[in-house]
Amino acid sequence: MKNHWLSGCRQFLRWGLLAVVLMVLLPGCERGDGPRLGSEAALAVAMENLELLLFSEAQQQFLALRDSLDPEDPYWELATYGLGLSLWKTSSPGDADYDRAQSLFALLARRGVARPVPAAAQLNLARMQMLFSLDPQESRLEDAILLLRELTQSGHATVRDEAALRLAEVYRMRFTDWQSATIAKQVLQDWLNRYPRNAYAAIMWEELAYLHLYFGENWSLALDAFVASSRRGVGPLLHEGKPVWVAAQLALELGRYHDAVRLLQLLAREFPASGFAYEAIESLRRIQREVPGMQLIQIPIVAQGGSGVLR
Amino acid sequence: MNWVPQRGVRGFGKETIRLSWLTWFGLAVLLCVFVYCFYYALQSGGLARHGRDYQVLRIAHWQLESGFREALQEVIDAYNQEPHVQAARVRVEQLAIPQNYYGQFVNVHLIGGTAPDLLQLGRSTLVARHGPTFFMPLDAALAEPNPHNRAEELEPLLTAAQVERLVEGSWQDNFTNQLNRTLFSYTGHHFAVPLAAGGTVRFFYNRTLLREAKEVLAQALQPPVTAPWLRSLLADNPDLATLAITRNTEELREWLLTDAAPRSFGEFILLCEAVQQMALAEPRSGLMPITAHRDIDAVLAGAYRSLFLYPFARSLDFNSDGMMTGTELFAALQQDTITFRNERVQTTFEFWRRLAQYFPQGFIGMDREQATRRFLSGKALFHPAGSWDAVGIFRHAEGMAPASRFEVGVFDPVIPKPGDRWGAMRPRLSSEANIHGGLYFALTRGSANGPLAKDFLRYLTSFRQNSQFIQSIGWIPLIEGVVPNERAQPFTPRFAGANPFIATGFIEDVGNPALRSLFMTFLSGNMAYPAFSREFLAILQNPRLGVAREWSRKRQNEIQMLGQVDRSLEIARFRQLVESHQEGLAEAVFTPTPQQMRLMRHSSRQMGGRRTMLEWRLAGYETPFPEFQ
Repeated sequence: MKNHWLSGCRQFLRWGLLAVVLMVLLPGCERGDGPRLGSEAALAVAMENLELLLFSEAQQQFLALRDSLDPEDPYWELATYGLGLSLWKTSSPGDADYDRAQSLFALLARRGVARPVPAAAQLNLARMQMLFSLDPQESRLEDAILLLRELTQSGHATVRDEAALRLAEVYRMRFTDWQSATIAKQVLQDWLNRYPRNAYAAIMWEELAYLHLYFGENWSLALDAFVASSRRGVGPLLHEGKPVWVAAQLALELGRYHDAVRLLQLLAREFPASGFAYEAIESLRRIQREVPGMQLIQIPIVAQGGSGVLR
Repeated sequence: MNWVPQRGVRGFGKETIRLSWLTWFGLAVLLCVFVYCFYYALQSGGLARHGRDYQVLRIAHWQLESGFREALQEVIDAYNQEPHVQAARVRVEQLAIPQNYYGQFVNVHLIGGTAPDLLQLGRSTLVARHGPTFFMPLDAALAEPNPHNRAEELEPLLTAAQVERLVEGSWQDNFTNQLNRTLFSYTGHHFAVPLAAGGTVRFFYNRTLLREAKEVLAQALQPPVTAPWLRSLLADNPDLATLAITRNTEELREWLLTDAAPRSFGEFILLCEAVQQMALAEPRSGLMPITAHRDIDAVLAGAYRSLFLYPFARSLDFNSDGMMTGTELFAALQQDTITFRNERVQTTFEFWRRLAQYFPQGFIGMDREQATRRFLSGKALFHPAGSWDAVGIFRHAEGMAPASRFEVGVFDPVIPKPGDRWGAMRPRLSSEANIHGGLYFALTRGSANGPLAKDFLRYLTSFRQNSQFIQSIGWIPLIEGVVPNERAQPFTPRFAGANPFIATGFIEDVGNPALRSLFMTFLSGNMAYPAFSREFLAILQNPRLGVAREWSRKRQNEIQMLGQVDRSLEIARFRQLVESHQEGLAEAVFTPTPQQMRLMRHSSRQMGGRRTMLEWRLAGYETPFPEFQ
């Protein structure tokens, strides 16, 4: 009986000791070099699922990764961001997941928008406010404006240009109010003056052109903006010539033949497969025939390829 | 035989129903069939398995035109013999579904999760709106070279540069247009690959009938011209009033002495009328000038939609996006910006009606295959059809018995020439320069054989297999170095022409169904123009069917697309954040890629889903934007 009791104690100690050793060693592994690679691999898997639009799988993986990390770990921020993104993209305003995604982005943003991940999180947060409701009466555009203004002023450089473009978009969303359209124009014009070579300059010029066209009285300003947009290469962004065609038509209507010729030449030369090239060549011939001083303009020979940048 | 239950057995009241022996026999047969099917389904392990040894990889399409299935089967047979396919115990099989049911088939199976592994895209509104939800992105595979292009096989056939592009370049680079514009490209991802360039539409004609019709015409044109049917078509006065369509000129008479196809709408109509007279003279011949079917407007829309309306491409482009859309035209008509009394609008409808005057009776009830059969039976002079039908038509015509054989010719759609009726309006065909891809196939998300399905798409678009495939089907190739079938020559996209971004919103199969149905009634001759225009405006005003519904639908589509664009944009940004972090550049400023730029432009343009509401204002409406639940 005594032996049996002793043997039981020995077994208990043996397995207990093993359990203690495992309890000490295993969590420790999480902080070493090995687990860092583990986080990277786990993030890569979750990321892949996200890119394949397998959101629920990605969500589980981001959640597991986030729960396994310390909030100070840099991967924690990325896992939280990924989790927020996968929750956002599978929910609608009013859903619990949507609110959860919002709080995750807010949590990240509070860490300081001067860093890229929190700044991107704040951009998402602003976008969520912009799209909170498709009904203009239920919009949260004021909140979006505050978030975006902060990003344009003190956000990380990676998101600043986009924040400015989105800020103008918020004002454009209030299109029924003429004043908002004027502010949108101002936002874009100011940004382009300060950062003429910013990443989204071509798109900003194009938006500015449409703002002048829709809400302005001076269409010449619209054409100037279209031309600037073409110089920045808005054409190749699209792989088609529609905005160049619109600009060329506007130039013809305004009688600004030099601009028209350059835009039509661009269409014929660089966008032969746009569907507009034939009409562009015809317009060039008409200008050559009918407009004084334009007899020497070049009419391009149509060929495949081209960059679509106005020179 | 007695199909009606008879009194005798207990029924609902005190009456009784007695079943005859035939009914019992029928029930027994049904039971036996059910038991057999159940047993078969259990044995075969469901429809996805073919026997017990291998799985079936299904590819579904609606290309039932002659020669297509055979051409695809040849590629499939070759692929099924590949060692790696045999090792995987998979067999590829094709499912050819008639186009009228294809959309329904796709919708049901995509929602039910039982869709074939590879699907041809198109004809399904579900796919058009939610395509990316059902298909796997192919970007990773497109970024890699196509392993089925082997240098040793290509070197004897192609230039060094072509071989390099096909072998070392990415799969995407193998396409002559680098897949710059594909279906769902607004998402920034490739969900489908085209097997060929898009098709173009031309008129096929029966050379034997053409000669006969020209003889009839030449005879009737002998002076003095007395035949009333011909006199009404020829203008004796310079302003071409009434029904006159062309002039009796020296040029016309010379053309009648040749084998040449019609060069203008006037010559085309004269020939149609001559065939009509031949049919009247011999009623049992079943002759007809033109074949037609229920989708004839959609077939001819590519060529004729901008015919007289092209000058409106700018003035009715209210949002200045370079396109005149159906909603813009509807807005203009509803608000009297242009009216049905406008010369160009009226002429557009007169032109279509004139063309349809020579369509066979009851064409609305016919399908494409029936129309093709009529032409191939030698009963029709003209057959408007696409490049997709060319090889089948030529092959069939050549294979006919010598007694009924006829030569087939092809010509471009014709328009009124200067001096003819409507010629002063300088009508124009649309440019076809923007035709990019056709025969798009996508990999469904539920596919059990995803990697092999992707590999089969690569195989289909490899130089060797695609060359053989393109030669057989006669479509315009899209793979570097692949030479088109010589019969595809007349179908080469036309560069010359008007802005092709003109959509009327009813002369297309994607248009407003109520308006399209009305247009078809008008074409069939059952409605006069004043009644047609009144009815058209009434539909536009109808809050459930008309303009309001169109605009609401447009907005819903844009919101749908915006969601997909934003999703791609945000995932791409996250990828950049992750990559810069992994490269130790967590604080680095990264510039957007061209793909991100495209996505951002699209997203920004949509104004958070309110763009259509702005366009509603730009189109001149002052009422609140129409919303439907």
